Amino acid sequence: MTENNDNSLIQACLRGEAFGFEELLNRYKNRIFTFAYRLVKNAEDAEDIAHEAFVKAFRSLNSYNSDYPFITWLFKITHNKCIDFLRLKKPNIISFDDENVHYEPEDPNDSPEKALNFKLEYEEAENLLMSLPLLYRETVLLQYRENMTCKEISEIMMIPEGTVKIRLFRGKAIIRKRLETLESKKI
Amino acid sequence: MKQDMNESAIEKMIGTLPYYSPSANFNNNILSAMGFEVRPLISPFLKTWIQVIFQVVIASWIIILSVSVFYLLRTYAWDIVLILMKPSVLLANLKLLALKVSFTFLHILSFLSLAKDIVIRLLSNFNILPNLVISTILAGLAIMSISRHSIYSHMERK
Repeated sequence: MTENNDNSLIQACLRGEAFGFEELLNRYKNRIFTFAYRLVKNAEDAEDIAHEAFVKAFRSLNSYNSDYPFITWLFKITHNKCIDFLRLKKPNIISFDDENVHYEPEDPNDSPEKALNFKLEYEEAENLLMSLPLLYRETVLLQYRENMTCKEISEIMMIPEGTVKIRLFRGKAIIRKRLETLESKKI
Repeated sequence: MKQDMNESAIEKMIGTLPYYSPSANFNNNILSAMGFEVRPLISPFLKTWIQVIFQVVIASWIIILSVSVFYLLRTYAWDIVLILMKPSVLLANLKLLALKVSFTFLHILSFLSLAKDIVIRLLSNFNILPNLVISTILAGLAIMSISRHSIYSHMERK
């Protein structure tokens, strides 16, 4: 339903009608801005990135393939903008390879049998998410906040589906471990 | 089983994180960048006039307030000086004022109580339904007679 609506709005944009652009903006600006914010961790930079992403998407609507959801395409553009920004701003801090990310494997005797009894405030959850390494943060966000499939995430991030699954697994493992630490601190 | 619970809890935690909004000018900036002329919600002319009216109203109130304060100070200057010279007089006046206020409050309360008693006394044997029916009929008749008159006068004019 939304995809059909998106396509009709895109057609309106291609005809040069401002209404189409405005509707698409209203529909997706919060998601794109929030996604960029959670990647670059700064609201002003995120707004600039979201701005650039929308302008690029609108200017290259002719090349948009309507077989794929518009939002996936928009996320892909935003992802690329964020990566460009981070590479430019923090070339030494940001790592884009799984091998370079510090990953603590779980203790097999520990977590699987221990149910997490937590109820975090959203600020705590936000902080926890923000503390994840970029690769896992983005994958976890796209999967659980944006309800994207592994295939869609692999298209957005331009990585194989297998890598997406590994990143999801590792991301969740890190979250679980940190939640356990939080829980033990609270007790 | 517990592993699944953890998974779903994490998914839920991430899935319910809020979305944030960019600044209010976000849409306009993008539409401008796309070459669209962005019209402000209120025209600059109207906006200027609203600001002028607002400023005039505020300025008028400030002037009225200043003049009133000045007038009061000038009229009661001697009293104010006396009070300032003898703070004990001020205290006594304040006590008197408090007493007057409390008396006024009691007067209002007794008046309201009296009004309530009168209304209760008057309405004790009052059956609202027949009164309502009669008044409705009377009002209807009045409206009809007035309307009829107006129709006739209209026809006469023709």
